[in-house]
Amino acid sequence: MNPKEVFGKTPECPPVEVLAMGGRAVERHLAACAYCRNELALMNVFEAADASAEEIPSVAWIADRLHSPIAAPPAPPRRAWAWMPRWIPVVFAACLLVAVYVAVRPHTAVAPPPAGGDVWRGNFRAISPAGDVAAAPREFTWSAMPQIPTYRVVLMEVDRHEIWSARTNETHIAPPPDVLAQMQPGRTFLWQVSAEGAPDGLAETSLQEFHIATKLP
Amino acid sequence: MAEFTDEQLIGQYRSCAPGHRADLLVNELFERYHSRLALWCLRISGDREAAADLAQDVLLKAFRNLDSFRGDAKFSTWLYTVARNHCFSAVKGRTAALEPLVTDVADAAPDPHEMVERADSAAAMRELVNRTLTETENRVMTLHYGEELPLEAITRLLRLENASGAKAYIVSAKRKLARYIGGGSKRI
Repeated sequence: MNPKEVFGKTPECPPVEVLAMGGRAVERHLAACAYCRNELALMNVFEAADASAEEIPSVAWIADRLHSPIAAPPAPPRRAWAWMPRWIPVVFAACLLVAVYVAVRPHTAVAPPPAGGDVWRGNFRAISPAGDVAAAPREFTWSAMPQIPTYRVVLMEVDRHEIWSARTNETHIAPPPDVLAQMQPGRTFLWQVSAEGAPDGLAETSLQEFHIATKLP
Repeated sequence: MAEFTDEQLIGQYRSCAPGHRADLLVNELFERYHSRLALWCLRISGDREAAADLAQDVLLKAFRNLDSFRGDAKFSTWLYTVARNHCFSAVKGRTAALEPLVTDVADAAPDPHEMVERADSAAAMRELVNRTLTETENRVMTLHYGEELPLEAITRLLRLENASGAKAYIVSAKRKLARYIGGGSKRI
């Protein structure tokens, strides 16, 4: 007999939502079922959020890093030039880009980037890995951009914290072993490729997300 | 928006068009649970960097599956099940990659596999466990053998403050069960 048959969930065990509602049938089941008593106790641990004095600083640190699943990533830490209005560096960078573009643009017919300052993506796409994957990806692949000498690949945590980046002139790259080791089952990552030296300004793929499936015990 | 319950926020979110107000409603809903998720994930992982990743993943998963919340139970209960399942899977995955589940239970008492094989049935064994073990022993055994959580995570989750944490409860539970099963089926 597998210990899971004794200590695991049984077909008679109701979902935790039902356990939380209580009632006589639930109480009868709870009296005989250690698994469900444990479920209910864990739910109460979650609900109570009773952090110890040692846990409070870490909880605050983690909570500060969390951002809404639909909001933009958190702003980077303030720097010494934080007094400067935010639009100044943006305008400066835009002017610089325009100046560089005007100075070095080739006189060939290449589709221009869209108006409005958007990054030009066209058919430039991060292909794989994407979505749910069975294991840590051995290779990242993306579509080619014409006339691009170098691509820069960046792998990030879901909070956009960079884990690894590399440059290549191919349209695929294998992550090194230490990066592979970080891509553990159950975790989600983001990655993106930017084309360096694009003739008509910036070119980068959309952020691609992949989730490594949890291994079955 | 603080005056709205979680369920009211979800109701309003579902009835309004995508846009700024929908974003505000969802942000308000999930921000109420940042600290709870942070603490839960910290206890599961034991490391604040990993806990932050876990908690962010839980938020994403909950948001993507918000349509599956039917309102039969409280939102906090639903979110708990999302957090529980995600975190347990993540920790189990990590443990499996490191070492076999039960090798960290160094003990002279019989292996749980051997012990349960000697019981007449799973039901009889569950009854024995329920009758014989203390509530904490039961919880530790359930989390370790039922959910396959590592002992360190159980120690943190249950806030066990004894020197060897969950391991001590595993040892004492195994000894108790071995004593009863060793005494023959009459005692079960």
